[in-house]
Amino acid sequence: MFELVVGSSEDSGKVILLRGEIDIYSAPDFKDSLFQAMGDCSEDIVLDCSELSYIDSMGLGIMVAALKRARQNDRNIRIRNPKPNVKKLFRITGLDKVFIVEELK
Amino acid sequence: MKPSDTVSVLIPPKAEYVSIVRLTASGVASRMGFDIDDIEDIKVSISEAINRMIDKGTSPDGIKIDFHLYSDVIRIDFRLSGSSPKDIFESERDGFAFEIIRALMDEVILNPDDHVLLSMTKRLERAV
Repeated sequence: MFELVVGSSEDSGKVILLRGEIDIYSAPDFKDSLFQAMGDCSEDIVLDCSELSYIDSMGLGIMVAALKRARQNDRNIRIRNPKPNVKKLFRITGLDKVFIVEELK
Repeated sequence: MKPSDTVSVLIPPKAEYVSIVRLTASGVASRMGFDIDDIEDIKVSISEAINRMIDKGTSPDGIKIDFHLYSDVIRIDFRLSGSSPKDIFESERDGFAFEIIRALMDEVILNPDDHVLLSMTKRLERAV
């Protein structure tokens, strides 16, 4: 079960909420929805991961592709409030050094 | 050493069935006493392995996963079906998956015998 909800824009960029599980099954849907939500990359993107319960390398690969696209347009992607298991994957893959990972109350 | 119990799952090599193996892993590991963090590690590792197997068409007849339960260890074997390629981690992207598995599991062995594609082990750290 996976859902992507495009929220409002704030100072730090357009907030996109990721909910559920991103795995080999939901990855194509995640990719299409994320790239559509990013549009022409006119603003930074905040991926709110507070309700993302599971992700694997398929999902991380899509996030990296999205980041590449954002940076080509001088934009950035922030990862907000990932759960401990998601944060751990960012850490062991070194992606915590590539993305800005932020914890907001 | 013989496992005290073995739980096996056979799934069609399709993306929509990977979550069923994760649920099974979660149930089995939870029953053994693994904590939430370890269960998450096992779930991710299993998915990474099955993703590669699906991607490479390694087991067209189905992917069989055996959960061997010992008193303080779980060993998960991915069995080979057919005469398909044995190296599921050959490309750079596959290497990424393999590194994740190695980081999350205690022991990972590729092709431990003629029938097993990959074997991974997680030890149960009991609170003293």
